Amino acid sequence: MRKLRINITILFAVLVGCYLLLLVGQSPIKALNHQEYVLFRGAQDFMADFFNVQRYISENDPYFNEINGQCEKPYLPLCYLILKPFNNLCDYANMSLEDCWYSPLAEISALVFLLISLFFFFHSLSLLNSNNEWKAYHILLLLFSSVFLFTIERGNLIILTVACINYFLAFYDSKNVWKYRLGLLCLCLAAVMKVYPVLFGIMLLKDKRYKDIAYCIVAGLILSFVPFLFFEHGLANVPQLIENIKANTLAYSHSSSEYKFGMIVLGQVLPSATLAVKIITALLSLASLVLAFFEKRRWLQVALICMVILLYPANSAFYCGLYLIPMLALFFNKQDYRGADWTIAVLLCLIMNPIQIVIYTTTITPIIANVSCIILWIMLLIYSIVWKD
Amino acid sequence: MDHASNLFNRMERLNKQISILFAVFVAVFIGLAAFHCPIESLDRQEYVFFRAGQDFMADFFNIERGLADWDPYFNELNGSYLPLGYLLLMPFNPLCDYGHMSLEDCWHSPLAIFYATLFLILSLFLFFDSLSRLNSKKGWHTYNTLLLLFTFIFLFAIERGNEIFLAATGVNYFLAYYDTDDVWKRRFSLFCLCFAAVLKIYPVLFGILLLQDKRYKDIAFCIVTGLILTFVPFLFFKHGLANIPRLFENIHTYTDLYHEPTTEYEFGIHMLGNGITYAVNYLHPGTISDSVVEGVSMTTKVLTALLSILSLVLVFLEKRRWMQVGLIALVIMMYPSHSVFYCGLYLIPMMVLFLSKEECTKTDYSIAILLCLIMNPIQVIVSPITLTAILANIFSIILWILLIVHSITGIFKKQQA
Repeated sequence: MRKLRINITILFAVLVGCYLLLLVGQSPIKALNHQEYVLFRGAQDFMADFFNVQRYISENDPYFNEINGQCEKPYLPLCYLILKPFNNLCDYANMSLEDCWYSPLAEISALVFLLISLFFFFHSLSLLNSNNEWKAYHILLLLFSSVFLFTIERGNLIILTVACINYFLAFYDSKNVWKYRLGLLCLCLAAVMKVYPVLFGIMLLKDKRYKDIAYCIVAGLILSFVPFLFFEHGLANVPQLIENIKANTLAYSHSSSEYKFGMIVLGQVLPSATLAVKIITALLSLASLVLAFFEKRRWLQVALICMVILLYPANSAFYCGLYLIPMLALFFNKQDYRGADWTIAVLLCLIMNPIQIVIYTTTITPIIANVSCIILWIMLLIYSIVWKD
Repeated sequence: MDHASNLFNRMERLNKQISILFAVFVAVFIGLAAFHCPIESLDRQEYVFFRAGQDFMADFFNIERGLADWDPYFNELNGSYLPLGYLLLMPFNPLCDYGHMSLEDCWHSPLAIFYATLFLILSLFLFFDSLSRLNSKKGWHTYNTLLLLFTFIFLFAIERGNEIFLAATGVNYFLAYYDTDDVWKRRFSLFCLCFAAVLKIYPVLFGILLLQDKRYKDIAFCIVTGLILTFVPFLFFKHGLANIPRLFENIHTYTDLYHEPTTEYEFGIHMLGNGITYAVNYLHPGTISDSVVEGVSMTTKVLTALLSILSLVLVFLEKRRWMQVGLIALVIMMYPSHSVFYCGLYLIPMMVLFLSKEECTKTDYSIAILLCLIMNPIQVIVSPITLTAILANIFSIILWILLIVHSITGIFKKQQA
């Protein structure tokens, strides 16, 4: 396993090295000359997830706000509440997205939010690194992965969400009651921010920790509903939120972008196969969750859940690749070794590879990452079924 | 043994109490930043950034603009740093057309902002890594790092996009591996000191530690490395070594321009003296003549020089590492005529070592409170100036004097014993 760790680190370091050279210099191959496409549309939508939310909450009424249409406000109110403290610094109500870019104070707000998110992310990662196999240079390399570069440019809450998952996993077996409770609270926070992390609750179900499940349900309900009271219309926002979610699903389930994960994204090439692809995704997700329930190896259990969170949703943006990080940390910390680990490690490298190959205006790197991710999913399913401890 | 453990527990308690006090400062700051405050002077927390962010990331973008034609010393920006400072930012240069961009254009380019952010994240990554290595006795907790993110100095520094984080990182690594038995790590630490000294010059003062320990071989290694890091990078730029006389000219122009403090976001006794004369003249025009202003300026400069020399002599006689680092850091902060607020980052290694030390004395409480007050992010604005920065400067001066007195007393007591 140690040899695998070293070799895969070197492989990824080479990929990052090539990426940096291509970024800085000119390549004779035209398709390699647009490394800025590692960012969504070459950064032409810079920090939109942060600034847009600031604009939506500027009048303390996010669910009825009409900027960009109501389909853009499908989140539970906690997400808006977390970003609320940054709202006072600029007059977001009268600012377009471009105005936000041109406002130094708005830029600084986004920067401070990003740094706080990264602090929690890296701190949680260090706690998850139980065997200390994840070194400082791994984190440095991670900073240059495609998923990470894409994410930091978005200003999305995903970094905090994954930090919460990391805390949950790090404190899952803790004997310290407070840490353990904090871990559960973090799971609730992650689930309220991005919904799908609720699937990590399967681990509690498997271990028959029913009291903890009850605690999570109560905490989850409080975190879901109490923040409504901080906004105009209070609990009357709930039906509007449901309408917004419907509109969002309608708007994004058919939108095509290369910066997405999921079989459905690949299925869009063949519209007639869309239904079949959806059914296959659902079946694989179900199989993964069942296997996660019976799996004893923590890294594999986490990996299976992560893959469902990543590949099941109809609209899984590229930053959702960050859900792979807890799995990555646990995988590199495991001590036992199997030949198939090589394939998993190489697939992870391909998913994280930052080198952009741009054909016309489309970068095929995220598409390759998506295909690698799907192969990894199937690989993990086989791993779980075939290779037992 | 009991006495020793008692002192250690007291230090642990001080550590916690001071963290709580600072957490209250941070909470008040966040509250004031997030909500409107009825007290007008507390309603402008954005002044925690230089000119409330109206000069966003200028230190990064101006260097990039100056680098556009590989000719930083002969363009309109008159580069005044050693070439390593420019070389480090060179990889970011081909990413945007900085040659045709004003500072405002840089703000309007999402790609330029993104790369500035990336540079900052990389700098911070190295800074925190070096800090964790310096924290060998684990006296610096995770919550200290979280609080550090909200200090005045830190918030101010991240908005500048300055290379100060890299220089402070170099100092941290130097101190972290100063006593290591691993030859490679020790060499690395010496290299980091040279790197910091070439980037920001004044960190060279940390070399006194080597002199005190009579590590002459290491000093020779540092001199050779320092010379290489100073001169070789010239060859990467247009005009090569012919840039050297031009650099001297630019430094001369720069010193003329900045020999007097220009904003309240600066450290120094000199800064305080000038501030007082300016304030009196502002409130009661004509009460202070030019000769008095010049006299105050000269006196403060002489006083600063004397205190700096005294501090460096004490460093040489001191045995407590945290005190040595504190004294050097304060000289670096106080001696230059133009010491921008981000230079306060040099205090961080002293803070880590201070909170990790085992014995606690009564003076430590005063030191801890002064550090809290220097780092306090709550902005009190007396239009159009932030009083917080001026207070931080005053507290830094008090801290400096306190450390000098504490050091002299300690040395004297030891000699008597």
